[in-house]
Amino acid sequence: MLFNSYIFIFCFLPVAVTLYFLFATRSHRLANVFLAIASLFFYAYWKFEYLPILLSSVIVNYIFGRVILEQTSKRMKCTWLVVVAILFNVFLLGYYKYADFAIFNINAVFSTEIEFRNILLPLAISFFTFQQIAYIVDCSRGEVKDKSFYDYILFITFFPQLIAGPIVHHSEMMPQFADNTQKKVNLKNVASGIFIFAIGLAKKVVVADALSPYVSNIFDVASVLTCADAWSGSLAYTMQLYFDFSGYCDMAIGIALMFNIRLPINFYSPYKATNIQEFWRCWHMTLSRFFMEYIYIPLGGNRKGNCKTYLNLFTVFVIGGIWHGAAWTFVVWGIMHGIAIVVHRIWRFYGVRMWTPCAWFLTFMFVNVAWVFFRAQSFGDALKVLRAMFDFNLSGWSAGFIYPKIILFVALLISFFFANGISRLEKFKPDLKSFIFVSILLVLSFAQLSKHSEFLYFNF
Amino acid sequence: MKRYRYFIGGVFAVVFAYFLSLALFNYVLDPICIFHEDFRTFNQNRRFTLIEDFDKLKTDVNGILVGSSRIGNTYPRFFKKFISDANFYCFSIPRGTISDYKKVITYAFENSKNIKTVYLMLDEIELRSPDDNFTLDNKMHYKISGESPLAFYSSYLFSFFSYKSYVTLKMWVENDFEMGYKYYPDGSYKHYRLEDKLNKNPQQYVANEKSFKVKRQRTNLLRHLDESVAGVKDIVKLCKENNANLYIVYYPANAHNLDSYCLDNYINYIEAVAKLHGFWFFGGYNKITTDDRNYLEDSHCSEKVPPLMLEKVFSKQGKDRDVKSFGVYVDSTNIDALVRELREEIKLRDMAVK
Repeated sequence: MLFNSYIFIFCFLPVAVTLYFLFATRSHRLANVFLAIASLFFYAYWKFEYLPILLSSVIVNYIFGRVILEQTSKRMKCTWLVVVAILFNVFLLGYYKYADFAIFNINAVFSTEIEFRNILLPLAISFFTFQQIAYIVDCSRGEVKDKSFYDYILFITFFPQLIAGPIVHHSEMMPQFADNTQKKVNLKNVASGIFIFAIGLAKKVVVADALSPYVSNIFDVASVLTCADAWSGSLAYTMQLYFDFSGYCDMAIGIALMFNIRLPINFYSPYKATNIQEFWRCWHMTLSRFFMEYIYIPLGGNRKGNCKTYLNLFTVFVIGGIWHGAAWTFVVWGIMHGIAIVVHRIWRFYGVRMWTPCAWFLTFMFVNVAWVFFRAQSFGDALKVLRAMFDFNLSGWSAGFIYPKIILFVALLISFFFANGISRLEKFKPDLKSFIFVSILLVLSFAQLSKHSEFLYFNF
Repeated sequence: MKRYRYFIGGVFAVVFAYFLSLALFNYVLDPICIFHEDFRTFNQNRRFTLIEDFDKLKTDVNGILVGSSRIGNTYPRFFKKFISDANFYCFSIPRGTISDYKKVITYAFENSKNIKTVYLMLDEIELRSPDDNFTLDNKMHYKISGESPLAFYSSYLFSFFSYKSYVTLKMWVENDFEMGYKYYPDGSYKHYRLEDKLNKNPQQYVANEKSFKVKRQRTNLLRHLDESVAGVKDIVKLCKENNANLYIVYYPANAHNLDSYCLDNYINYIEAVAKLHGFWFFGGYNKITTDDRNYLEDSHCSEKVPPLMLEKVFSKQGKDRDVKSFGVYVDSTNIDALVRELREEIKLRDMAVK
């Protein structure tokens, strides 16, 4: 079930919100159980056959977590148990996401002909796996307080963030689910939720989906590109990815607010960043947080000298590339960002300063070029686009795709010069200006709602 | 709190007003469905009506034709000449992909136990489009896609201004408010306006048809090769499991159309299909495809071409393996000869066009 569908907006969401607060008047535990069941229904609506995978992952990880917590509370060592639990999650993710990639590489290196398994990737597996790994590690550190199974299953399956994040931390979610004072309808939260949901919906259906066919044409269909086509195509994908993913996250935040639940922010005008570190502080912030707390810091962080710091940063970004997809293009993308962040750190160490507009331009152009590898289905496609981009042959822009090109221009303006959805939410007031703004966004969005679309991050 | 209440109420009122005005516009001001798809009749969505019409006839149908819109004028009645008790249904799926064909064939086998013949037309359209390439105008019937009826109908209830609205309006205005199509109960259709014009004066028709004059460059990659080959493999298996005779033909795409594509994957496709199942190849640059008088525009052939194809396919004189004739039977034993001939044709064509 997509957020941008009639059935979600007019059936599932109103029913879920209404019944949640109705059950809450009788029992807060019942309300949480209902929300968990509704979330599982939401997940199963996509493909019922994958519900057992989600449920077994949740149950197994909960059991691991409880045993680890008990061992930790008795001051007993449980390192081996933590390792087993993490490996369980990694193997689950590895099997569904990387099995065919591994087979492809084995066949390529050893000239074997192992058949591909053609395993369908269960929706959200990358996200709920990471959330549970974080939970397991925190159990071993004795940082988990809430042991309720109902709160745990809700923490993992809570439908606004289940499919594509934000990657939530148990410490920020489970207390909210356990907080009984928040089980009454809060009109301020509902209004704010509608506000940010409308922004997210418009970002997704009006902007991101409009750019999709143009991006497809540049990256997948056309064999020959002019310089202008290549640049506009790469910029179109840069905008599509941002508006698609941040739009989804805005909608998730809005929906959660209607339940009086606050999700963490995931995007904060990343394309206004003036260096690559700032970019990663504003892009997929919850993923960056996860990598920092559970990979970068355990590797040593910045405590073991510059060289080790750079190596740790580089490793994190390579892992980040692999996490995003089972293809070498994602690995190259991760390596590019790893190198960029190391270069930034070196520049900072030596006090290299740059004029801010120049720094912004360099950062944005680098990110834009790196996204080419992220989007391309093969190195051939990526090189096709990059060669055209740096050909600087002024042979003109190809005809067609007028509407996506207009939307691209609008998207660039919004990204560079306008406030993002979250900062608007922070200043939200239920006045006439907001009402007109939301009404226009909703009408524009509903006019496009019937078209087919998917969220790009569903593939991760 | 009052302000929040008014805000929320106001938004709900706007949303309600939007849908109410849209419904009033669609079903009162636009009864002829220029700006929307009527969810009661789905008059613009052939993928939907094809299944509905098939369901009415399925108990009597003993064979199916499956392909893109290009198979639409292969009238099922043509088959009676070769198979006396033929009672075929034509699934001409606009912008169809192999995945669409597979789903439709599966549906046909599951819902009609009498189907013993499958006539499958392949062309480069399935190599052009990804599997999920659809708009509201060509969304597959919910019985095929697995979408819930509620979700399916609700997506149409308030549809507005599809891309076809402009095209529909233009055609209506240019053709005195007649679309020029006749849809038959057996799934086939005739573009009678264009067929009549072509038959009246072929030379003039060809001279005036804009799509034959567009300058082409081989820029389209025809990328969806692997999915298409996998789909053909599944269809071959499906027909075997259901004891149905499978005839595969490759559409004679107009030469101008072929000029838009990088033909490497076109050739890779027919090579892969030949290794899976023998088929009749009518494509490439031959005497039919290079003669614009055989086409209504650069995508669809006229109704006089399919009978020529059927004569070849069902001829009692054996399988013609002459790679130079219009319609050659291809399998793994002679595909290399055809590929060599095709590459030569492409080279000559590119030199001639330059």
